[in-house]
Amino acid sequence: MMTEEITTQIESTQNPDGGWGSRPDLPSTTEATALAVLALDPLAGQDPSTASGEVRGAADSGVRWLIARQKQDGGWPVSDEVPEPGWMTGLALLALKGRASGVEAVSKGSRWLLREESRGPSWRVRIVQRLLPQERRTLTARELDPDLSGWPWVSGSFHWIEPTAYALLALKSVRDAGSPGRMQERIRKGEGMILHGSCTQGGWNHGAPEVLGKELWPYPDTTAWALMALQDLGRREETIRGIAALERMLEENRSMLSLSLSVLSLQLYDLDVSQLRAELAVRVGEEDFPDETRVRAFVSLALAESVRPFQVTRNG
Amino acid sequence: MVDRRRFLKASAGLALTAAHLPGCRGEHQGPRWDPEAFAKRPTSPVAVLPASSYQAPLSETIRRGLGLFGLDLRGRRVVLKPNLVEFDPRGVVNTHPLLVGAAVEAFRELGAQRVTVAEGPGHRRDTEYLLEASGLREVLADTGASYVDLNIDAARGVATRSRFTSLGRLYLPETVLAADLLVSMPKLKTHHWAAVTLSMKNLFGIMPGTVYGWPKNPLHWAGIDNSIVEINATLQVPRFNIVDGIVGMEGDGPIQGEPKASGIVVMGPDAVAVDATCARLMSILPERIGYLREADAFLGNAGEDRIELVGEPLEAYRQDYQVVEHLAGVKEAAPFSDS
Repeated sequence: MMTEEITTQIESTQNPDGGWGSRPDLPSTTEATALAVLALDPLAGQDPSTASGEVRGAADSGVRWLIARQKQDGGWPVSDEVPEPGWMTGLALLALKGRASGVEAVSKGSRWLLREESRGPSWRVRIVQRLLPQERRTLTARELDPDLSGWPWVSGSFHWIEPTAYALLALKSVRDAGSPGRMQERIRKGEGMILHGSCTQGGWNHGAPEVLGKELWPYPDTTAWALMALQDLGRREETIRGIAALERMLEENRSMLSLSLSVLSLQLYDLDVSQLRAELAVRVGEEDFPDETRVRAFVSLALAESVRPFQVTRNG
Repeated sequence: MVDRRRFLKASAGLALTAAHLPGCRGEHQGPRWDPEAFAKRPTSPVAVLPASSYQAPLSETIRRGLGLFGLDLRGRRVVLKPNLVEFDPRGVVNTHPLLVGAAVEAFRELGAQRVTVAEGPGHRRDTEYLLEASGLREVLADTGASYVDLNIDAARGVATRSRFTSLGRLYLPETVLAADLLVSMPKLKTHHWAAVTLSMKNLFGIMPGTVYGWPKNPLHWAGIDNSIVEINATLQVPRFNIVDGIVGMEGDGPIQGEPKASGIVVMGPDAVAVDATCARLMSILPERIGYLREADAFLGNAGEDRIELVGEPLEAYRQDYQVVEHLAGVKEAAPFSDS
């Protein structure tokens, strides 16, 4: 199965309302729709054939679905059934950036991301924790540092790696030399959260490198997202150790999600991903190819060699 | 033995822990549930069944256990919800896949129309990896049971039926809401915040990650004990519970504790009674566990005198499960011995 075939598969599972569900036949969600639009986008722009026109049409419907679902405050909900805006906002921005019809939505969405803060321990807990002897503290210095501020999955809760990576990639992709200092500052705080949140052995898990003094281990997918979010910082200790950890984890974890996100992240560090891509190409032909829209979209993007959908530069 | 000083120190630790999680002590003044909306039975049956290893005839054990409760499963759509929160090759984090497979067979043999395995892992989004690494994928292939990732299932907002949190509504997965019977299949484990994680806490895993995240942090902010009670009070699907206590986990659960061979499967329709019995099997006092104390008032029966043991006697299988230091106050060993 080639990229075009996966793309056709994604296109064929579009819901009548123009969006995509997490799996075929499920109601549309912002996450699945944003990733489907991203996956369809490369083909839509490259091939003027009829098929490409259909793909372009499907992507455009997805874009319209996204724009119509944006909340008044600029954020995006999980779905029509779950209207509260939250972590999917970063993904919606990534899908809409660069599209003429999405300029206003991207601008509003960026402002929403700038306002969105994670919720850490209260000042009272911070004081109590700092007064306790080290061995009795149940929160780490990282968790107590108000200057390390990523993005939560759900407004009003703590920050985690994946939603922080989405928000950083979205903000970095729309910033330019004239972006306000507030945006640069928010990006810096988000980067700080990721940089200080890596596991002892390198790489990142969901966002808790240790609990009650015990180390937890990294995951390939969250490590890949963290690396993508930090790509413009260049090679530094955290990213070098993250890359090494990702390569180690891939020795045991060859899931489609791990392989595809590894391709998408490692190529941003100019590393050779041809073997990973070749394995993906073989695996997508297998019978148990996942029906999850998100995984299909990442595989499609990873197989499209000329595409770097999550690439950002110092200036956007 | 836990002396008064150690107990007070542990209690202070518990209070400090609770302070990290706003809402632990309840965000609402006044009644938190409507007595007219909940009717519990005066007593609840619980079965403790021996199962020496995962190689034992587990399907037979589960069939025998189900037979003790007279469930009519003919034509029912059954959803089995194991604990698959994380994978660690060195540990015993999850409900053993062989027990899940045995349950699939047992429910089918008793006439269930469809048996689905469903879970929304709490930490990881890589379902393919978790299924493969945990061994559940192989069991699913062998039994032909389908698997639903509840984290990405369609979610429906349901108004909470109690007021233990300020969430107001819970988003629940359609796969669970459409079931004729939801079977919570937790591992017998201690938990470094909630003291134990059993049938009731296992339902955190039905909450869709797309709505609540990975981990399901808003439920932590709402107070773990409060969220456990709220989910269990709000979910109106008929329920049953099968706890994997063949090898449990003690210490720093739910992820980093140590294996503890206990050789039991605990079953019953009342999650409160099943969890209270499991706590006693671990030499942990149910009345010191916040969510069991609350749930005992309106959802089920935690009191020993209101639980009918229909399987083996509890004493034969009681063990001393270790807990993390700040939870020492939940242990059974006479906390007031010097008073």
